Amino acid sequence: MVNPMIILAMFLLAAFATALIDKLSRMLAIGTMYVVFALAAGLGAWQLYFLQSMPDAQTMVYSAGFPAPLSIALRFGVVEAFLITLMNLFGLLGGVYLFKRFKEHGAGAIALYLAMLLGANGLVLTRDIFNSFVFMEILSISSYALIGLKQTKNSLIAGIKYMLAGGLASALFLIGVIFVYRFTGTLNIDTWIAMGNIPSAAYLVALFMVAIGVFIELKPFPANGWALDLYQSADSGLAAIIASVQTGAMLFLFYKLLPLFIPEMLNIFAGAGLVSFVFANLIALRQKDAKRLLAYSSTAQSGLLVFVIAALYLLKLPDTIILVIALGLFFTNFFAKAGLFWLAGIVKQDNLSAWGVLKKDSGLLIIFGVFVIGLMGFPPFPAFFAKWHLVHIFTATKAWIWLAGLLLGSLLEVGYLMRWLGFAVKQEHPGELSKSFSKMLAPMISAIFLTTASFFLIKLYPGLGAFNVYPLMALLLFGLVDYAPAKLKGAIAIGVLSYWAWFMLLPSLPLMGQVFAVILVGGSIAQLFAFMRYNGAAEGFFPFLTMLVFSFGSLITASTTMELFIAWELMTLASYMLILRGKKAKDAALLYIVFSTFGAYLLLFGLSLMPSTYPGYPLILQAGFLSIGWVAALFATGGFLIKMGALGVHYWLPSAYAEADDETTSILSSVLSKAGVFGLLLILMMISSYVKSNSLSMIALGWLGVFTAFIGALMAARQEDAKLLLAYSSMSQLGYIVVGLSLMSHLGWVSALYMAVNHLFFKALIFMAMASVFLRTGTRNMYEMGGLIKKMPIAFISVLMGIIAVSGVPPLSGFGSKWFIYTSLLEQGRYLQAGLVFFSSAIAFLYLYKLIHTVFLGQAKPNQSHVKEAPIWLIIPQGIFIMAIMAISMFPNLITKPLSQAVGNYIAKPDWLSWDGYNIVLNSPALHGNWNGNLVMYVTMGVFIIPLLWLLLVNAKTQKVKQFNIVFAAERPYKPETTHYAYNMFAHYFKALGFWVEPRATAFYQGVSEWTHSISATLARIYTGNGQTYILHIFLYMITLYLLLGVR
Amino acid sequence: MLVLISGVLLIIIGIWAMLTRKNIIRIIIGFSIVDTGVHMIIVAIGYIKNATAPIIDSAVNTSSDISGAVHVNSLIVDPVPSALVLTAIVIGLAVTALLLSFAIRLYKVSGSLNIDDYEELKW
Repeated sequence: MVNPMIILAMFLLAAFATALIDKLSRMLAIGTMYVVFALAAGLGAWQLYFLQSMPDAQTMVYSAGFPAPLSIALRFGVVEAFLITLMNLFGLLGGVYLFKRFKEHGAGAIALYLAMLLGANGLVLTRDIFNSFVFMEILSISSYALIGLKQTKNSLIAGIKYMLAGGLASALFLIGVIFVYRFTGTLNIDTWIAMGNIPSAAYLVALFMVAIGVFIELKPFPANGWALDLYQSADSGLAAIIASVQTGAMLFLFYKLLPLFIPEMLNIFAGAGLVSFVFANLIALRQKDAKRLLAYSSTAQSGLLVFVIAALYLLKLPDTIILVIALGLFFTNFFAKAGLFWLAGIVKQDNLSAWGVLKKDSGLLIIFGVFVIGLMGFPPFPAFFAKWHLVHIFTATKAWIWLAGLLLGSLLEVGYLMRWLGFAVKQEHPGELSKSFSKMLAPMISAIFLTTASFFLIKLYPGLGAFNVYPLMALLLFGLVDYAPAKLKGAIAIGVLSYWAWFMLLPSLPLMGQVFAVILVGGSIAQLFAFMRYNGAAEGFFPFLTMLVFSFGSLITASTTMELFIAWELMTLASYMLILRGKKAKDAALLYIVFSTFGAYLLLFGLSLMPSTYPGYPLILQAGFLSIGWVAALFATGGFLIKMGALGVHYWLPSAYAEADDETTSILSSVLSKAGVFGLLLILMMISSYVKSNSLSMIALGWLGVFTAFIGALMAARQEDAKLLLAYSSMSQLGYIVVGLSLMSHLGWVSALYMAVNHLFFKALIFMAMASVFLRTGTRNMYEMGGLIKKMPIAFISVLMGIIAVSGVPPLSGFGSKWFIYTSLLEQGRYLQAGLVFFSSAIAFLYLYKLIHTVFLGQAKPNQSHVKEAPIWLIIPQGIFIMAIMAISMFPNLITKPLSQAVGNYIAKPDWLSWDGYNIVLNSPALHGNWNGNLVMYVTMGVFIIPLLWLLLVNAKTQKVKQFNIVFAAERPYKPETTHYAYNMFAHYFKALGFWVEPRATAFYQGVSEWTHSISATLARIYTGNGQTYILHIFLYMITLYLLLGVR
Repeated sequence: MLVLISGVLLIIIGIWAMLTRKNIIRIIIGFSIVDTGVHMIIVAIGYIKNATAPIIDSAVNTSSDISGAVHVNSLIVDPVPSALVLTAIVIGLAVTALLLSFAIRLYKVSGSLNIDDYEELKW
């Protein structure tokens, strides 16, 4: 094995030699430093390799040939080797980033930088407490001095604050050390641990001082004002190293001391870490300065890590588990946080909203995205797996407060990180990037390294199938060819996805899974044609579209809860990116991701309560046999309902649907919402053993669905923006599906699924047609359109077909699905719900009438005379969906029979439901009825064709007039749009019904948001900027923790 | 014991200075006083009453057994804290020197040593 002394000696030697070498040549001195880092990292890696082949090798090294406690012991085990490798790699990258500084300042800066890394390396290796103090000071003093290189007022005063705080922390540490020595007679940490707890209050005080000394250096809220100023004012390259290497080394020291702490102390530190995590993130929420935001985020992260190691240690988990989880978090944050600081030095913009300059270099933008998403703990990054296991551990040990804190802090984190990402992607800014090779290298390599490691992690993670990797591979591969023309990418995507769906996805699924594969995957593929309408590359669509479709596949095939959740998160991420692509979608996308993450955390908690499943078999197959508790079901359902936009949590839906690109909205509404249906159905299957239709919970769920349908329809009728109208219409239709599912009966589920399929067809159809209208007219306001029937007949026919289907009048399939829902509700005796659902359908007529009448009929607008039919790419999906609607309307058996069979695997088909040719016959004790879709179709066609012929006959005699022939049109052609009759069309109805649609949800969420911001602002006031106040904070903090500890 | 108590007193005085003085140089002096107090505590911990310095010379009563191992029979002050305090003093010196040089730079850049004048970074 490697003697770790070599590493320390190497650094010392290089630091001293630098002064000489620098006289020779500055480049040589800098080069020597880089070589030292590379060698040290190499030694770490070599040790890792060595220990992997010889796990039992001696890892303890004693200086001067004596065993401890007579000498200083160093340990070079697996964890140490891992950290040494990582830290020196970072030293190297950070050193390259700081190249210009070194070139300017020469030997002094180089030696200081080497000393800093020497301190970090030593701190990781040593097992001697006083030696730890020495290395801590080497690390600190060299970082103080490096801060002084940038001689601005702010960085100098930040340096002074940092030194005072650091000096105090180390004084506390030192006093603690000497008193512990008084009790134990040794300075060796391992001997301390072996001696066990000494039952003396004075000893505990001493131990507490040791611990608090290290803890203060870890920048806990609120005793961290000095650290915030430091991060904000220091050179980005230096801040990056302090946030990663320095914090990492300190954390490891804290970890080494954990076995000494009594449970009360662990509890206090876990709590303090968690408070730091939540509150620092809360304050970060309102930061406008990028580096200060990063400062808060860094302190939050180190709080999280202290919390995690202390909490897990308290729960007496094995060291390996603690380390794997902590390193998972640490690894991700290490790269992401340092990377973001590095990027801050390239962007050189303090204000978050100015980060739009990143768009000037799409490579940097992608790197930024990788760091931000990694930091949030999305899969496949290691932090995701760490958080997943944390949640499961806390659930298993019933540590509810810890769990709540963890998730709350993470949610806040998502809020500000995604807001930042939104600025970077959407905000235009004229500034320039300060790019240079040396500065670009570090973030680039970090991003590549982080992504590659994560990719292998998810690939090799035990229990994860190949399907989980496909979304990421798709993202990567389509991302690489994103410069190619959209038409080519579209064709490849459709080909690849169809092949995969047909030959790999469908055969691996049971019938119910196949139903959802058709809805989710098939429905998406049909709509991919629309994206081929774009000329040029249309960057940003296909990587995320393919990722989305593949993640649907892995959602349906998921066999474990982890696979399900990974698929869910990847799906959310892909859809977020697609929404964000919309022109003005910055805020809408933020709202979407915050709600989605909230839903995902509910789901995560629900999943953590579930029993283990049988890997290898899709959950949808197992769901009939699995049984879960009602708490798990409740939370998971909450998560899925958010994605479906159920009433109360629908706040995100209108804006996200409205602001996304038109084709994207179509997929969101028609397909993505069905992923929520899939999840909900899965949960209902798992509780079907003890929850029946007449259970209170299901009746409540039914009412939720009914009111979603009702309010959604009312809201839709109020809209002037056609996209918002359709968005609320989707919400309303999803309400019907929830009602159907809540019935927990064969007929109920069949009706819900039938509705789901139908909704896919008609909503995609209408959205595609309306997308053509928006494209050609350039507006979404209906009162600015009119008479488009002649200009865009295909769109008209599509919308006509669509609204006939939506409204549920014969002969189209929508009638069937509504009929099914009414009958199944009546069959279960839910008359009130049936009544209100019926009423909602009536309201649907209002908005549908408004849609078709205002847009396509009436007077054509003079400024839209140039409008022509949409490009073929938008018509292809319309054709597909029209054919689908016609097929299932003519031959409902095509769909009802398989659905009944699929549902029959979970809830047996009752005898009174049967098929007689094309006739569906219900003959239950409560209900008699039948529906023959085929016959209805023929009858309706007959009814339609006879008047049509008559009209054609009569029409020959009519006199054609031009639009502005005053004899024909008594309307003034030019008038302000707000006096258009379609503007506020149903005002009279809303006089009566308006109280239903007061924006209560909006008011609620805005209230939550305002409160969060004002709490955040109030908390931030404690950071007055005064150095003395910060010292006082440290003292008060120490005393508070001590009092909480309750040691007398 | 007296050394220990005066060490603690010094720390308290130093902290008082750090919290109440407005001049950065005085705050640094306060910091330095805290440091000195810490050093005194370290030395006091190792001190044993009536013991000699940990150097084997004529003042120390030793005897050797048959195997040749040397045994020390008289009380000796614990040498470890004394060794530690040297390191601590050096480190304290470095930090104080650095602090003072920052203070001088700060004065050159913005012409004030009042800590209340530097509150730009906040919230």
